Amino acid sequence: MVEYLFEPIDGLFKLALTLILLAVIILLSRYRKLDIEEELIVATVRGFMQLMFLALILTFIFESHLVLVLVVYGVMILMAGYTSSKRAKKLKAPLELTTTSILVGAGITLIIMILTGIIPLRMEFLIPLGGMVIGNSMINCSLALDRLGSDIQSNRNKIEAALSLGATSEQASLPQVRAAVRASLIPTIDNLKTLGIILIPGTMTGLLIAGADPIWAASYQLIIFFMILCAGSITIITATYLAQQKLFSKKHQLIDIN
Amino acid sequence: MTSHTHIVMDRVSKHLRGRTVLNNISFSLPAGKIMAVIGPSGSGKSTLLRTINRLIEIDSGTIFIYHTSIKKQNPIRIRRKIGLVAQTPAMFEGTVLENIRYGLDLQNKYSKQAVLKALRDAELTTEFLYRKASNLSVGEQQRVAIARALALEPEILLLDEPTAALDSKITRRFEATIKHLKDVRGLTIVWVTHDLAQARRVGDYVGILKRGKLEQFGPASKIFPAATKDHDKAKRGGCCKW
Ligand SMILES: Nc1ncnc2c1ncn2[C@@H]1O[C@H](COP(=O)(O)OP(=O)(O)O)[C@@H](O)[C@H]1O
Ligand SMILES: [Mg+2]
Repeated sequence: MVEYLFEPIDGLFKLALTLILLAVIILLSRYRKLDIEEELIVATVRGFMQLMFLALILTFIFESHLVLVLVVYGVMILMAGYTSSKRAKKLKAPLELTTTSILVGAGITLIIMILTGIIPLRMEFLIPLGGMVIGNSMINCSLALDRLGSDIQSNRNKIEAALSLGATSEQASLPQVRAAVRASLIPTIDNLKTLGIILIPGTMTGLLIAGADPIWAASYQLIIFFMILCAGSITIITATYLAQQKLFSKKHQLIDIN
Repeated sequence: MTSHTHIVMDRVSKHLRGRTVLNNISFSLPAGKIMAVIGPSGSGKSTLLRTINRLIEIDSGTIFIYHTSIKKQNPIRIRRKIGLVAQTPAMFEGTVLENIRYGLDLQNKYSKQAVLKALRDAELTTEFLYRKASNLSVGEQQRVAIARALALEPEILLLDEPTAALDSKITRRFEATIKHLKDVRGLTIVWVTHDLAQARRVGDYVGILKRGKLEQFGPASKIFPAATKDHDKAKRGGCCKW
């Protein structure tokens, strides 16, 4: 169904023309003394190299054995876990906690989607969709742990008051866990709410550009949203649960971290 | 109420970040008595209280409650019998009523009477019930924290400077209420205070804590000799100076 609208060489030429936009931003930044030029240029070069490298790898991967998917997923999940664990500094959340959470959230979701045949067993579906799900789980995981860490720190008195009244550590930190789960899911939920009103999301845009039927494109976009929501929710629930176990002792004491 | 309810500390020590916060503390408090703990700030009074309901773990020594080491008891169950009123009142989200019933709800033991009784014992009126706890003054919040602890009808009360934010009239009434509760319910109480005069008024036993060491412990009559009736004389007499 995907027809070639862009020749590769033509594509690179158009990409070069797009640099006009970058020049506009740089001029604006200079004018307003925003001091973001350097970072912008570095980010642009990095993004270019990474995506081109990805394109080369994808060309190779799309041709190779399906088992490679597992390797790619593994690398993605490790990278996501590593990135997320650095974000959740307040918790001293080790790599295992974030990696496990993302593995569980993205893993369960992807397995269901593959077993039901919603994601076809083809490289060009498995790799980008897997990346999308894992990447979003990573963001959800970071947001949830960051929020939980700071909320528990700033509510130590309340939590210990609840423990003193005979609450378990789960009961005592329920308000903070709840707030962390909500806060980290809000971006995804808001996106879902405004879907199609504020923006035509990425996948649908891509499919439409590639000439797909709008209904089909919309369905696929929704599937992706539910995957992201499901994987994110499971990741968040797992991460907050594991973090709770780390923040409290078995004797329901709030552990002194710093 | 129960003659075996008492608190014993046997060579208890606690270190926090390389510092000795509690240093080899031993005492034995009989059931149904109030132990007033006095000492300068930073001497470990709050830490001492928090080890008794096991909010923090001690490094060495043993704490006995009901003749059994607290390490051998279920921390949740033991905390339900020990009311702790922390130094800074921490209100939960919601109304005063929701705060007071929190502990009762955890055990499915909520009753309006229990809340009203606790409210009265903490020198609060019913008009507070539906006010938002976070909007109250510190003194009012402190009383809500007291009511919240009393609602569970604890056998042991740990009070961490409970009257620090109360005016003298309410402080006196509160002291009388707690002494009354001790008499009728046989409560055993550890009462941390900054105020020597209050220690003298409420303490059956007095402990003096200095840099983590329990420098003196004994019946109030021994710590405050009868001759030195007031604060100044107690100080001049050499006792309790810091
Ligand atoms: N969580 C903690 N980490 C490190 N030091 C602490 C901690 N809690 C208390 N301390 C220290 O222990 C000492 C005793 O504190 P505390 O028990 O609060 O004293 P008090 O109630 O008599 O003022 C103080 O020096 C305090 O700084
Ligand atoms: Mg204190």
